[in-house]
Amino acid sequence: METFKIIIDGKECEAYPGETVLEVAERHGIVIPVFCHHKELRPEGACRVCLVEVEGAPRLATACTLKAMPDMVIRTDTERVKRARKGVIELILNNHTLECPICDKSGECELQMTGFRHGPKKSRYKEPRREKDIVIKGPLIEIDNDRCILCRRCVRMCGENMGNRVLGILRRGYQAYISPFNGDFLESGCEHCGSCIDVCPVGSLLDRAFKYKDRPWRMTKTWTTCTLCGTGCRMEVDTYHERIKRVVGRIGVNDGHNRGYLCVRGKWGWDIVYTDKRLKKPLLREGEDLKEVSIDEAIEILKEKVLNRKVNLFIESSLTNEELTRLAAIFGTENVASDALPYQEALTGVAEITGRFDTDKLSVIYDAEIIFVIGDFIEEIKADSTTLFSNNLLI
Amino acid sequence: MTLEEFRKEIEKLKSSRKYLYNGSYILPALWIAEKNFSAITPEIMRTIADVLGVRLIEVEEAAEFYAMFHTKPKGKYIIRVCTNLSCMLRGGEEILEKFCDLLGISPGETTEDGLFTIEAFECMGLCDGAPAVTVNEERFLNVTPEEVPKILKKFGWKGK
Amino acid sequence: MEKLLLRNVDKENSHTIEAYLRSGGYSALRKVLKEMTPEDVIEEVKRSGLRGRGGAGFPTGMKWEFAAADLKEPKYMVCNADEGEPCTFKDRIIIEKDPHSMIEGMIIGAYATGCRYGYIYIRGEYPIGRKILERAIAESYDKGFLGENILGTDFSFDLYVHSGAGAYICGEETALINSLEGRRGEPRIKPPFPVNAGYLWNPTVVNNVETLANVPLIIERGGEWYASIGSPDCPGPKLFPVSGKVKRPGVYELPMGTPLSEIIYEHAGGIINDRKLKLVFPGGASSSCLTADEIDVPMDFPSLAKAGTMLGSGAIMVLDETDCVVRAALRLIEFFRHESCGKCTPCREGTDWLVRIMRRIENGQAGEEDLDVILSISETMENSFCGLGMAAHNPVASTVKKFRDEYLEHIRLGRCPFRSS
Repeated sequence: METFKIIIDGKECEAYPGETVLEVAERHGIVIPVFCHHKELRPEGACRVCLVEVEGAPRLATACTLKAMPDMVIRTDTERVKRARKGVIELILNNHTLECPICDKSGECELQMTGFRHGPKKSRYKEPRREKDIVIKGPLIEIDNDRCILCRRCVRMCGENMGNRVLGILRRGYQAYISPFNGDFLESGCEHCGSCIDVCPVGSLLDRAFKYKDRPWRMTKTWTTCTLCGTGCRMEVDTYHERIKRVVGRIGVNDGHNRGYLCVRGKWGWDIVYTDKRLKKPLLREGEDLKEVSIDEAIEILKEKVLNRKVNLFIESSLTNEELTRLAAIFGTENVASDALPYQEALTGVAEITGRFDTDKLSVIYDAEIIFVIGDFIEEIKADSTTLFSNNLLI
Repeated sequence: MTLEEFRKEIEKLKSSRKYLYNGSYILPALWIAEKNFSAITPEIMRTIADVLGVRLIEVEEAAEFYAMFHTKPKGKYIIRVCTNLSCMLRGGEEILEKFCDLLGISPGETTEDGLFTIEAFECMGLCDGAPAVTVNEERFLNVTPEEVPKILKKFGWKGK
Repeated sequence: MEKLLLRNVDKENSHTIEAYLRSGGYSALRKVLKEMTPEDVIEEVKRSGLRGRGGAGFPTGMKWEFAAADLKEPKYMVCNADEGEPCTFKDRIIIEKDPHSMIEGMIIGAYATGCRYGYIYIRGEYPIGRKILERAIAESYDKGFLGENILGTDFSFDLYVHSGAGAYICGEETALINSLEGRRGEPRIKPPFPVNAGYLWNPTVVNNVETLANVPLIIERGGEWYASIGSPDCPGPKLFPVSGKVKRPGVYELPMGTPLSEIIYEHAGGIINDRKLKLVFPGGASSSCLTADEIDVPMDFPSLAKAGTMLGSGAIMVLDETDCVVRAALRLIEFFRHESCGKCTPCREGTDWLVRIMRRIENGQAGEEDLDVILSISETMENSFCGLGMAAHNPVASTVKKFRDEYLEHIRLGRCPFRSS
């Protein structure tokens, strides 16, 4: 693509057509503070913190909405810019609750960081703090409007990126606040993807499962792949003393194919790790009863049943391709089907184009002496396949 | 108006083909609700969203944003007293006080019998007749405190 | 001066199409459709030098040219009748007394720019105006000036009324478009401008009522004639709504560039009880004030800009010596706080902070340092998203600068000197 040059703070920067000044600056390591803008969202120009001076323009412009033009000369470090920035941050801080000690966002709050770097050192605000006192609680998400700086990232994330339009802004001016319809997440059709929480720069949108649970700075952050289905979303698991406290997608930072977007299972499903219903030891069915056996015993029993017989696998779709390949190698089978039945046709279509398809059609697995089922899903899938199983084959 | 009749009205509005975009019917629909109901309740918003095929929150956003829509119950007659600069300079605040005194309520409140709601309103473009008052759609210009009881009586006020 | 914009308002039933036709109405439209190409119309309007009467003063011909050059279809013509600026009531007079002149102007504009649909966005506070407009549009359809194949030509144009519901911000054109789409009336990022991406992201021409009412005159009598009225770089007749402490408040039609003092003392009859004039807001509530020494300024866009204020809607608000400046400025900033949409920080938070400080000053609980804070907030508010926030601090900041003594007196006395107790 053809590029052109613009000058930011005396530094020559390469810009692509259509890029904003903020994007160019970011790529060249020049920090411009901003709240309303987010990499994954369209420019909004609402917070007015990213003000920069443009040579030849009488007014300061917001870098997040300003398209870079050839030979543009931008300054981000003049006294005028600093004063304007400070003024806007002061306005944001004036009525922001100082609940940092008990705020879940503390430590990774963008307002804290930006206020520290670019804000005024002393407040001139003498008035009593304005309280909206509007807290909206959903089953998993909570909105504390007194902490909200109305950057609208959540509203845009919900409406534009997730296409769901659950969150909106009610009332106007200094009384404006964020809410779903009638304060009800469920009626509004919220899918609880948690993306709004992820993009909130302050502690206004909260993960209720994490509220008051731990402090961001002392948790261990582990990047991993979600195992709750086969999609393979990247996510960050935060633990303290090896106990999971929360899962975050980190939209805009995450380099996985999901780009940080999670679903309700990925975001909040981690608590199955700690459920007492979880199978921790092998169980052997003896008539109606289930008997606990050791892992060695279980493998012996399996060997007895499986060795030297033709085995096909029927697995839960949450297994990854790597796990599948490994299992198939162990059992010496080439036929593997998964419970992702509704996607079968779509996947076949994809396979025709990409030539790659790691699970097979359900029908192929009937041609075997044994179908080895991995996962706890048989009763959930379509009735006809279950019938087939019980009639023809040994499970 | 019942909710069923209201639904029919919105359907009629939608079939007028006045706009090429369903969202544009939200404001006209809310106006129908504002004129026929005491308050624009969540139930009404659900009906609008359902008929127009828009999201629930879009309707609520509009209903909450515009100052002339009431999501809390209002009286049969809304008395709007202009208190913006031109009317203020010519005694708009005294008029407002007089109304409040006579009805025994504060601006923004509704009388117990549900007849009147008083609002300290922003400029209504009647500055050549300052101070100005409107009751629903009727205008009263160059109002003096002495005229206030007369205005109220016209709309069925039972006081002295 | 001959009455041009207000030529019909004193006639009986001036709002009906019969009265309008009797006084030669819709002849400009006939002329346009029979004799002129859309380019001719734009050329004529450009020659007239007509500038938008809504507040920003953008050349109308240029706006139409941009819209005509955009090829996206369908295009929309929107009349901005959301006259929300406090103390402005000039458009109300046209809407209620001479609605057909603006409708005719709108049809001509639609023809020139190629618009298929039109909407008149009228503010919710004008229910009477709305009814009159709806009736006028129906009459116009009946006579064949609106609808399919107007007057037997290929040109079709449908016009509807859309009612706002009490939001001053919707006078800003992009906020108006959002409101027309049923959303919160919040301004959009410019560029793209509405002429390229407006209603439903299609080309949309937004013109003020008074601007459109000028158009039939320009077509009938020619752009050159029009350009000869008033100030050379900003010509034409202008409606000046005068209110506050004058003997005869009302709308006065005068050439652009008429001195402010002449409007107040000759046309509006001077100050009530012949008191002394204290200050004037010359362009609506969002303009900076002028003191008694500064009122010889000509009322047009460039002259007022040079005087450090603006023409805006041309609404003149007069305060006399018995009025408290702090009280007046407080009332206006309260208005802006109420009307701020809440989108951008400086306007949302700045108006609220100003109201709180101003209330303390008026109640005598402030210090001198608060005046510096006011000026600093006002500087920050200059960086607001749209014109509302950029101008909302003007009445406060300008009075602090020009009437500092009166502010200091409040602070010193610990009360408002204009209140007896």
